[in-house]
Amino acid sequence: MKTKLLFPRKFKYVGLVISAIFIVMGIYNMYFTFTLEIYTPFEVEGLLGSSSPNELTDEILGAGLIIGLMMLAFSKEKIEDEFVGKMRLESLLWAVYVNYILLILTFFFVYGNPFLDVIIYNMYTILIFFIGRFNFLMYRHLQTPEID
Amino acid sequence: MKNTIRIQRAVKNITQAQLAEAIGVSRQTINTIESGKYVPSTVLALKMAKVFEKPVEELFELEEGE
Repeated sequence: MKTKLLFPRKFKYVGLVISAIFIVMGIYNMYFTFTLEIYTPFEVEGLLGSSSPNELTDEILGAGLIIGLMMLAFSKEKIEDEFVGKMRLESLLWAVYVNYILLILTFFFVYGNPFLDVIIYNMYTILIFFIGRFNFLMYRHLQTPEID
Repeated sequence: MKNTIRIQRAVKNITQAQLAEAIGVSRQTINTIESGKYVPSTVLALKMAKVFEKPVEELFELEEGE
């Protein structure tokens, strides 16, 4: 695994803190009125439509959570060897499978406004599934006893 | 894939941790290689061969059907 594509180890803890904060704010923002009161002094035309955000809470929460989760997901392990690289690749594949299978199920069984909620969650679940799977595999790997 | 790593380690009297450090992997990875759960890359196998001063074929052997 080309380790130059991974964040330094310390980023994992930074990412964990950022993700925790933004997940809480994000979920709260989905179901209650919530604003960070960060306003732009100007209005901007959307790239694909005409709505223009003036208050940046949604944008900051959305992007912030992505960045936090990516730092948490793609930081180097303490020892980066080829076995860890293999675990990382297999975990990514696993996360993609699980994410899309669940997404297909939601197409058929969830409709209306809840469906939009699921689609919003779906932006992040692939990273979350990867983080869970990879760290679980690494934990199991690091627990293997010494044999001498 | 069969391997004789554990025997070679005993012969040379080094621990998993020492072998791991010599070739730049974690001790647990040595464990997964020895127990046959993971097939190392060519580079890693060659590094092991160098540590034990044996040819690679003496460390690793293809099994029937591979």
